[in-house]
Amino acid sequence: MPAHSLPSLSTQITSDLCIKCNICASACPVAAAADRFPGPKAVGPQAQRFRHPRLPSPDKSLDYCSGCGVCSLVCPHGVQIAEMNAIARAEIFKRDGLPLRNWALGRSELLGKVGSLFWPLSNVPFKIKPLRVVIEKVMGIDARARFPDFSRGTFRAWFKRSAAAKRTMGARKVAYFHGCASNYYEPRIAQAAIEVFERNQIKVALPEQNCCGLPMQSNGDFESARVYARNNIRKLARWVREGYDIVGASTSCTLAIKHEYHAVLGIDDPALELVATNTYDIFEYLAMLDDEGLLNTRFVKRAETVVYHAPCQQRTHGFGRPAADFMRRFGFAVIESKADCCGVAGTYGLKKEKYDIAVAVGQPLFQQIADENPNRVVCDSETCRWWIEAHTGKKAVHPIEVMAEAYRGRRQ
Amino acid sequence: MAYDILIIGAGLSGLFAGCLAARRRKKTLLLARGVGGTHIGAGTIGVADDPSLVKRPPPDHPYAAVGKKSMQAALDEFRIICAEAGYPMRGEPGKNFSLPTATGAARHACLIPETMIAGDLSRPEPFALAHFPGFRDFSAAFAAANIRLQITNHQLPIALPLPHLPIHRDSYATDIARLFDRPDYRNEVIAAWEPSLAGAPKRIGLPAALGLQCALEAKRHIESALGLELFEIPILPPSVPGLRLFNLLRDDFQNHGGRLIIGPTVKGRIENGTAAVSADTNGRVKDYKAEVVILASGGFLNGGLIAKFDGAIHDSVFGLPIEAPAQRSAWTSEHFLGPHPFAKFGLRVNKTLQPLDANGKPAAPNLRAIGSILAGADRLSEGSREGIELASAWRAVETTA
Ligand SMILES: Cc1cc2nc3c(=O)[nH]c(=O)nc-3n(C[C@H](O)[C@H](O)[C@H](O)COP(=O)(O)OP(=O)(O)OC[C@H]3O[C@@H](n4cnc5c(N)ncnc54)[C@H](O)[C@@H]3O)c2cc1C
Ligand code: SF4
Ligand code: SF4
Repeated sequence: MPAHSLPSLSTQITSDLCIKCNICASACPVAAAADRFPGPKAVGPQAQRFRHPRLPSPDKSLDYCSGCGVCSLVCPHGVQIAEMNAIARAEIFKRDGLPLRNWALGRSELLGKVGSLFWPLSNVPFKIKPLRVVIEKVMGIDARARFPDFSRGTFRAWFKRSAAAKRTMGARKVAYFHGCASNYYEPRIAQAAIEVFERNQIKVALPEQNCCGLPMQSNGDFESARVYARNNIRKLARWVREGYDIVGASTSCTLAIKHEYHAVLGIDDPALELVATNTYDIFEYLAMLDDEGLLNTRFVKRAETVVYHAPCQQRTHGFGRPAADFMRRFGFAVIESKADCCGVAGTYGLKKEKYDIAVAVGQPLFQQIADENPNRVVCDSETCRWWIEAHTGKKAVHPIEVMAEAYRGRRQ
Repeated sequence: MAYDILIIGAGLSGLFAGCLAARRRKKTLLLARGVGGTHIGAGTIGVADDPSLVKRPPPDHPYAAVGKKSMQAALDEFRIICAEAGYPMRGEPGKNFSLPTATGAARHACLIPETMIAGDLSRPEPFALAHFPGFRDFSAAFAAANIRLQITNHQLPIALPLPHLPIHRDSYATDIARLFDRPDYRNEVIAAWEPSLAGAPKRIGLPAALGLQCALEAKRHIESALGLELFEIPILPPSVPGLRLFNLLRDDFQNHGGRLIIGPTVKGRIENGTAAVSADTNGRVKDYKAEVVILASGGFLNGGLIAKFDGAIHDSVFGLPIEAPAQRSAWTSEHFLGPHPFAKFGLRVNKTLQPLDANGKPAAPNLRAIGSILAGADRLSEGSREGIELASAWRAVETTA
């Protein structure tokens, strides 16, 4: 197994590495779109000096940070700006109380459970304009923000019925982390992942699991996020000990497990280290198999032009963009997005005071998609896909769906 | 996947090496922890304030290792890449422009973007400096007072109002540049400036923020509408002219098939005489295979060199030791702005740009070092920073042919 490296400096201490070069400020997509946000250097390492339990809070504008992580990537000095901001935001809510909206937006698992129970009725309320206006007034969730439809039946239910679960093949074993989106809204993505594993003779198991906790974390509810994180660590560690790798197609869920449980939620225990070092984004995993010559590469070539947007969370993983390379091997013309962020950043763009900022952040991407006018947009993150669909009218799919098609030789 | 060339660092030298390698159809990967010096530099190319440095460099200077031929070839190819991107660099090697800095001093560079051409201090036409009220990163009055000590053809500074500056916070140069990219905004600016320009000279210096994507278009648009010449003066970071260079080199690299990953911290090791590289991908260390590794991780400022409190200095990727006096007091000289010994600290290399170990032998035959990590140059006092970056990048890629 590869060596592990949890960061040795605590996240907040990295503010001392800042040389005030403003590189992060020039890259932050929110600062570029909104002057209410002074930028990563100001709310990150600069404000950090003034964060003290007995001093007035310097964090008047911090909540405008979308958490996209672009700043942490470009900083040449290893300042963990985005992570620092997330921690500071949670401190504010601990002090002032968590708004109902943030509580609700963090509860994707609860929402999913209720939504699938009452399917298809559960899809209706989100489409009733007057109700949305009331929700906007009461909770501050923008009435214009589009919500995805609950699917008929969850991925877990499908998996238990499907043959894939029973067919045990190959020495390589994956315990699949589906996340809330694939389970309640888009089972097709997890199904495509299972299909790709089958084509590679990888044995798949479906571990007990919870929401990764990222929606709670980014809405400032660290206490709940830690409960979910600890549950996942406990439930997943069992599988790792039995020789399974944890793989997921929701790139923000796997990033939460690999990086944020430790760097943002501050969890420090050997079980996390075990789980984190054995958790992979699905394309990180497939690229690794490919490097080792273990991937089935009998792709049926087919010409299609797509725009591929590597979402900010995908880039924070730091393994490049293997999905784009794979699609080229499928015969695709892949136009890579020039945008750092689509704007929505999880649940950020759904909030009333942030909706317009999020749309402005996404504008360069929406424009590029309009100019290129591809058949489909490809993107690894669910909230980004929904946001891109809502603002471009284009179908947005996960690269794993495209890969399943490439094995099958046809589009679904 | 095994790469032909793996480059560590996304500053001017790493990016330029990436472009050269990708253009020569090498399978190239560039890894960097963050972006580099482009964003804090002036966005111009200085080779040497004194041309004899290139002709007769001291034996331990990077110019002695790379050779004159590399310098010429590097500057030529750099100009081609910039021109193809629609952002031509003007000037020629061996002849320096003298340009005003934000403090009103004169600095030298041999290749400069068209947005700075009209700032040439040797030109006789009168000029004035302008500041944008509300934008605090440039004071025309301060710069002008200094310029007055040196030359006489400048006139009193003027104020040019900018509409739609941020009101809830200070502006960054990038805020202004993004506004200038929009033709509708420029029309507003033209209308707003016209009254302030009555009686002003026809040559105006401005803080460097004339557009990020379409700087030339912005400059020409405003110039032709107002019948004058504009020139940019580099200011505090973030450097807009530097960002333009970063963007165009990055795009050129990627358009030629180069792979770029910004974010992970890279660790190198030398195994059986071969440089090997791995990167921290947020949770797991991933190995990368490459025929040749080019180390472009910069000097002290960008983290390529690390000085410990005990006086030991090493490079941050491979941990190669750097020669320096044991007494830290010997690293600096008395004068803050004077030459300092530490400026010359760095990796010593041979003519193949292979870093040398204590015995003068290559540390690893497949390793090259380029840019600000190289020993033997006082870049600030020589005016040689970008010349070293470009020429060493060119030479390193040539050695892999
Ligand atoms: C990248 C960059 C380039 C610049 N280039 C130029 C230039 O070329 N020319 C120019 O004129 N200006 C330049 N400036 C601006 C110039 O550096 C600053 O204006 C100047 O340093 C401000 O001085 P200061 O003493 O007020 O604060 P600083 O130099 O910022 O010093 C503040 C000190 O206080 C310490 N401190 C802060 N909080 C605490 C605490 N809670 N406890 C203990 N210590 C604390 C800090 O560690 C630091 O030592 C530049 C700035 C930057 C960021
Ligand atoms: S990029 Fe890093 S070092 Fe530079 S200002 Fe931002 S946090 Fe500080
Ligand atoms: S995380 Fe994104 S929005 Fe927040 S400061 Fe960093 S770059 Fe800006």
